[in-house]
Amino acid sequence: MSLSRANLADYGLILAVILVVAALMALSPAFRDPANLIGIGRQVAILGIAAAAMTFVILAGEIDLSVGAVASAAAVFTALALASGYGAWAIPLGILVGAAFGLLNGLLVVYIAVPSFIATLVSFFIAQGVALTLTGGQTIIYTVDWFRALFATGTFLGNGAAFWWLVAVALVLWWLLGRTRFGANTYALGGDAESAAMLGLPVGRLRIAIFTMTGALMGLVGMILIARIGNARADGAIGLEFDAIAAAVIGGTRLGGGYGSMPRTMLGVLLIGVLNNGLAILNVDFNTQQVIKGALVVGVVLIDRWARGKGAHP
Amino acid sequence: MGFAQKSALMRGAAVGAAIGLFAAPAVAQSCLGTAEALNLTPEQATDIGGRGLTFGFLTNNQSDDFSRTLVASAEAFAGELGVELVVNNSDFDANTQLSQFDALVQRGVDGIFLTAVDAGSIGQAVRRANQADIPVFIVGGAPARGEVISVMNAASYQGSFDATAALMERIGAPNAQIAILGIPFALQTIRDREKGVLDAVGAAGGQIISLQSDFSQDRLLELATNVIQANPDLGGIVATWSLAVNAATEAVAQSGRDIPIAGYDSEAPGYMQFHSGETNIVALSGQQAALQGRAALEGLSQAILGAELCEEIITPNLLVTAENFEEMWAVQYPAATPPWDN
Repeated sequence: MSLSRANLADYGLILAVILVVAALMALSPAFRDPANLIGIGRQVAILGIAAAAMTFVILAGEIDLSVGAVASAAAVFTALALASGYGAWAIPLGILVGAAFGLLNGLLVVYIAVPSFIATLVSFFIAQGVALTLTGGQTIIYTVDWFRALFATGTFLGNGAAFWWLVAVALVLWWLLGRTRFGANTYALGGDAESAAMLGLPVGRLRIAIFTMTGALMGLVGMILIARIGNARADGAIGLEFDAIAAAVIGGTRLGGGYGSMPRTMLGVLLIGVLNNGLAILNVDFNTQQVIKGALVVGVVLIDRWARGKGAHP
Repeated sequence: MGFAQKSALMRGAAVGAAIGLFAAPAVAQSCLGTAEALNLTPEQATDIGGRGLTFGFLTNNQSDDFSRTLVASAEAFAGELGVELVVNNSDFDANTQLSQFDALVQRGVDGIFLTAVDAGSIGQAVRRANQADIPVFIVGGAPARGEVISVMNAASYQGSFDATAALMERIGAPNAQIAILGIPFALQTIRDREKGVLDAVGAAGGQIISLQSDFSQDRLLELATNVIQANPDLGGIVATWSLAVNAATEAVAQSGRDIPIAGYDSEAPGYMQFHSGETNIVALSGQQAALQGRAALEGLSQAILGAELCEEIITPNLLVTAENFEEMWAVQYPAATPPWDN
């Protein structure tokens, strides 16, 4: 690998973010308004937390297609609890609902040997069915101001609560990944699961823990979601899984597992968030936005692959 | 549906007529072209009920108030008529809907109601129903191929125009800058809604400065926030579907600015906004799902009895405002408890 390729591999994504931000700043005074730039942090909170969790899953060589449906189900449970007057008990309930679906994913993958693609698809359908049954297709409206302030609408140091939840989750997961045995084992599991098992790593427990943690984080995502808008719907976060996978992949996380990092995933989230914000401000229509974002994913993946050289990360 | 609900629906017709929402036909039509014209006489209802008919109802989703009310109304009236109604929900999956459609044809039902996921792909299935002599009645949109006995649509253009006109009147200033928040569906009803907005804004001398759309409520909130942020002189927002109404309302509240909103679709969150007494929503155009559910069954029954239905049957929308929201709820959702009473 040449020096220029290595540099591009390491700094290409940062360069891409800088170029996109610079272009949007040049094109739109509204985009470069400090209030707007701060608002981007708030807007990417949900995607950021989902992408951070998805990075763990992908690093372990798995995939989780249930995150959007699980977040929606957790959101519905939480909103119903809030609307029924359960107050702060709604928070652990939402986390537990998410964790329970994550645990189900883990158990299906480890004990029944169902590929995670299928296992999480099963959870997707179950979570969506549960949410639809609970809501009866209706929008659940609740009015609990402290809850909304805690998870989204409150401000701290100039930015919204949702942004600070993202910062907290990203920092904790970054620490877990880079500074703990749990993180090192996750890389080892995704790099070569058979070798990891032969080395005596608790592969099954590790998978269950990763899926359960992802589910619990989707509980948090569900709460931020309903705190932002003030209501809950059974389909509130459907589709989040694809954006989360896209952000992780843009950040250089290898779909086969074993390679990726939390800061780079956050850069991927930032790139998507900046594009979403800037393209809307420039009044680019929905279909064109989809094309631009799709082309970006392909472009970043191809450049990353080229920069790392053929065979560098099989 | 009982007499109380039917009475509520007819009150809706009266209200609609009173506020000028019914497009009065210029000439007498030989075909049946309005919901009222489709009403079955007691003798006709008895005739239909005695035939042991089974109808299929393919709905593209049941996750919004409109679809749930539509299906619930059809089910209630089917029970009243003595007709079996098989309801299948495809949950926005076009392939699932194709399979469900073919299963109904295979079963040999006596008629199919369809709210299509994809009007293009369902056409072949409609043709198979045609070959099996099974009448197909469309509720919303129209398939690209195949013969259907009629297409029932809400007054998308007029409803959207009326709500936007109310917004422009509230703004009351020339050259008002308006943003549209919509849904990226390539459906005629969506195009009609947007055209209604464009025409009403144009007629009042305003200008459209932004058109953004998405399927997700959270993403719509982002879009509305961005549009408000980017346009300090924004005069108003028109949201062309229910989740866009919710998102626009929340974005305006979070911005702290006084930006009036008009919308298409009046669902529980919108009604709760009116009930709160502190809302930026000027008017919402509400589709009459309960009326449509009943009228669809009456239409198919009329066709089976030999009547000729017009190619398109338009049902009037309701214009919901802070002044009339309680009355409009009773008309729009006759079987549902108002959310402010829960």
